[in-house]
Amino acid sequence: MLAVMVLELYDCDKVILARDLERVVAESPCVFDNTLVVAALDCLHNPDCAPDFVWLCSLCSSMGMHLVAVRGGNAQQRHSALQAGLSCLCSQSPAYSVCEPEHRPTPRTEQQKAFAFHMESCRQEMVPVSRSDHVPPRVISTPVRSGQQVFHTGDLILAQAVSQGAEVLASGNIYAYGPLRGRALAGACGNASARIFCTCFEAEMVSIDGHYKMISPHERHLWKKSVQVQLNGRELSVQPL
Amino acid sequence: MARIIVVTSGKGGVGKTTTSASLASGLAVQGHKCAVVDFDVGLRNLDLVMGCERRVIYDLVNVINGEATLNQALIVDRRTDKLSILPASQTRNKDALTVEGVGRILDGLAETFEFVICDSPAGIEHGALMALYYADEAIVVTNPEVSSVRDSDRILGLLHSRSRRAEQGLDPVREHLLLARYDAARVTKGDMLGIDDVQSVLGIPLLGVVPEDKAVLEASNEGVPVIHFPGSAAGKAYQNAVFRILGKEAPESSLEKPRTGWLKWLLEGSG
Repeated sequence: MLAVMVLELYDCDKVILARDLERVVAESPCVFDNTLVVAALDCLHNPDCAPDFVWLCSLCSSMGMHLVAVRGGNAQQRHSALQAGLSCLCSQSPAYSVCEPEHRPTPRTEQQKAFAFHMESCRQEMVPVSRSDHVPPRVISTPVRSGQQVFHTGDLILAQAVSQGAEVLASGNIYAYGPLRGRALAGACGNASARIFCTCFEAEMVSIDGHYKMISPHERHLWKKSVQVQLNGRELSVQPL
Repeated sequence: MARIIVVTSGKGGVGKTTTSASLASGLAVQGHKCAVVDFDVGLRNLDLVMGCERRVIYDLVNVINGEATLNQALIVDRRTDKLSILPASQTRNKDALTVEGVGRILDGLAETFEFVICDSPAGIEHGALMALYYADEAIVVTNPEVSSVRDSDRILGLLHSRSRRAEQGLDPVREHLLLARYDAARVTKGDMLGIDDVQSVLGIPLLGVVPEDKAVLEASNEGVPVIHFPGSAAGKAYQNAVFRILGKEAPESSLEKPRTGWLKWLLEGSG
């Protein structure tokens, strides 16, 4: 299971958001470094406002965070999130919902915040997206070297080697055509049906939907072979192709 | 058009400075005007290996700060006047290097020299990034051991993402592998990685293989680049690498043939 930071938006005013977010991040340096962030839209004061996700992505990345998805929101908001390269997750189920409509905070006063942060594990159903909203796969045609990290919301295709110490993450499937020697995390935003396919399996670690497996000497019979990795229930299975 | 070549590795002590000194000397002996720049500000070594430590008056940082001109700081080599050395400062640190300052210096050198060899410091921090930023080509010096190979891989990643060519979307930096401190006997015995093991990880073309050689230490103590010891195995290997940089045919020495040992077998697994 992947821990993500949920940024619960109450307001989509850029000035207020930027100011408050900068203050929160400045108060706890390092806490937000290299964290995955999901923006929750269920608690907006004005549920029909249109946040600028491209701007929000760059704001987050300027503070070291990676905005990867939105949760909830109306069709229009989800569409503009997809346009900005984000994934869409379903609204929290009512049992977990922090703020039901009747508890929706009253319109903000000066004291109220534009957002709230909390950590949660990412086990979410993806919103079914219509074909026209389909995120195309990302093709990486250079080697992914040690220390590099590649993330894509969608399928990730790796045409060359992934070195030891490199990390490739995708919300969809991962296809590795060169040797896969680093870490590969498919379905990284919650997708139990994601798979990893590779032609030369030498991975340090594989993970699907937050279930991970370090490669032990027992898997050595699959070493350098063509394999696929998938999730069977709670168990990761590595099968020869 | 000058060729700006960075000699880099990530890991320390693998032979970057030895390589920079020998390749620069070899290119100059072949008649090409060549400058070699020490980027290891604060830990200056190149002048010792080149035997010109007593002639250092101004250095790289003085030129960047405008306290001296490039010509005042350049030291002409005693053995061949086609070669000049730009030493690093010993009393400063790497923060003195700026993208603009280094750019000005390399532009200045490119006007008069055919080759500019940048001797990178170890590590992946500011100094190493400054040394590789303007490079057209990179010679990645690697020892046949796992940690050195991994660090070289990391540096190759930085060449792909942090160099000027990467940032401006130009043709990528041309990469060459130089395997140093290679001991064919130990590879045969199986306690050292072979050439093909290293290449299977790094996947870049091989410029040369420099064998482990006592002459390297002797040459360094004397302040003479080892390429000037034509009888030595390391000197010969650097000479071959120089020919290959110039696009000439160079004989493939016997130790450049692939070998396998039990270490490779271990890496590949028993299956």
